[in-house]
Amino acid sequence: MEGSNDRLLATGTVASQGTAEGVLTPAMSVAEVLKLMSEDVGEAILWVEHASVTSVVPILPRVRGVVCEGGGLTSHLAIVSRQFGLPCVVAADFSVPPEEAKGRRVEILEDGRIVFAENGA
Amino acid sequence: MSGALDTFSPAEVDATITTWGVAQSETMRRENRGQLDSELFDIRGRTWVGFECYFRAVPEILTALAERVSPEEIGRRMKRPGCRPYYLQLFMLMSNYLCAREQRLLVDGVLPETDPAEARRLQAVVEFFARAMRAYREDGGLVPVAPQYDQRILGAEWVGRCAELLGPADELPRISRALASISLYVFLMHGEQRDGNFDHGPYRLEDGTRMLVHEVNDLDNDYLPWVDADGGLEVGSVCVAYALRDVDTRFSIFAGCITDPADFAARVERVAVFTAEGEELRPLGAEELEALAERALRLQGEMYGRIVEWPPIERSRYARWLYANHILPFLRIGEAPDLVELLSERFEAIGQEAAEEFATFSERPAVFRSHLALPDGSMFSPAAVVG
Repeated sequence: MEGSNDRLLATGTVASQGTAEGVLTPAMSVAEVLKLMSEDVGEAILWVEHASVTSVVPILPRVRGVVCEGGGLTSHLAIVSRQFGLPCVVAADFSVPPEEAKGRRVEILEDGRIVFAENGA
Repeated sequence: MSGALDTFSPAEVDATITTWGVAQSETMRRENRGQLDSELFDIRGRTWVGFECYFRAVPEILTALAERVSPEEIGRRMKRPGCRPYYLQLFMLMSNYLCAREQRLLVDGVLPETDPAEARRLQAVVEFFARAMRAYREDGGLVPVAPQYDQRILGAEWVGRCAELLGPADELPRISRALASISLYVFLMHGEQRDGNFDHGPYRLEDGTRMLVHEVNDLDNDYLPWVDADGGLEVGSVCVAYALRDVDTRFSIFAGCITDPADFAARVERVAVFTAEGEELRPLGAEELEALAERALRLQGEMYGRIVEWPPIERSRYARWLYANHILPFLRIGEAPDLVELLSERFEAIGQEAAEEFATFSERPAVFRSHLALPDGSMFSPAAVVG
């Protein structure tokens, strides 16, 4: 995507193919997941630290995509994301402090890059 | 052949440990398994508890089982779709017992089997594993090996019966999504273990395609206390058989499969979805599959709510049930229900003690720091010579 490098947030390994645009939504703790359970996460691109899948069980089927800081192609999160057809990038290396991107619109690109959406707030 | 676990020579015990250790080491490195962590469960704590339960209790249980049913007969009974126990339960025997044994070497400076009684216990586990596995796998080996890395466990008759159920693949996205919900349920029920997810094959079909079978099992679990009191799903397993063309497969000792391409949906020519009910394979339609997925989603939400309420020690102590649930199917398929009580009692007592011990550690046990972290070559030491 032309110009997308200017908007680069992170690069990682494509664990489940596809593209998605949504709001980068941290789900790092059980407390955050419990809070998200009662919210509309239909626009969310989940941002998680570990590639375990159980922590995000209640919300995973309702989100647009997943970005994980750890994990690999055979991680539990990767396996289930592929089955859901959910774009998933693992081993994501952030070039911008991810806290700065929290709540902003981002895109998962086909090649495993995560960029800020062109008109993202 | 006798069911007694005393037929292996020390050389056979050694060879089995080495073969298994090399395969487990390769897979651990490739999958970076040592890094697995979870917000919900104490992965290292529960693994420690599992190691201890296996090391201290499993040899006597396997010995008692083998006196009634030979390991070969157990392996033969496992050779059907949707069966539990399956490959991963045999994996757990070796992995857990041998990791606990290495921990003792790291702490004590000697392997446990310098005591002859411990040598017999090691032999019981290794021999049960090897004899059952050779009867189970179609190639008579212990692990998927280069260059094919196959995991074929079905004989020609079962392959034919699965192939008869294959039909058009136009419902594949619907099937995959329903399967994802069921898999998610199984991952949570099994406390972030891959248990219950099994890939096997490939099986060559007459039309030139190769059949890959993906199974999700233990869906009707009635043992784990955090599963709904009314039981799990209405079926014990969901099996999906894919007839693939131009897809490479590589199976691992973790009972999974890596495919090339990773997303093979466009190369599925035919598909079958079914459940195994005894000796019968019953096709599952898309509506029934989606109803199962819907129930799985509801149950997993409720289960999640129960698990987050656990006290901190339970996040590792739950392994006393989780790891007993791996041995349980051997006792059921071996028709030894009286041993289930022994299993539960032993794992309960050892698990409680091990979880309390783990909570006192100021640093992770040596086996996690040095042994599982960066394995090089075989993960497990050869058997000590008992003089």
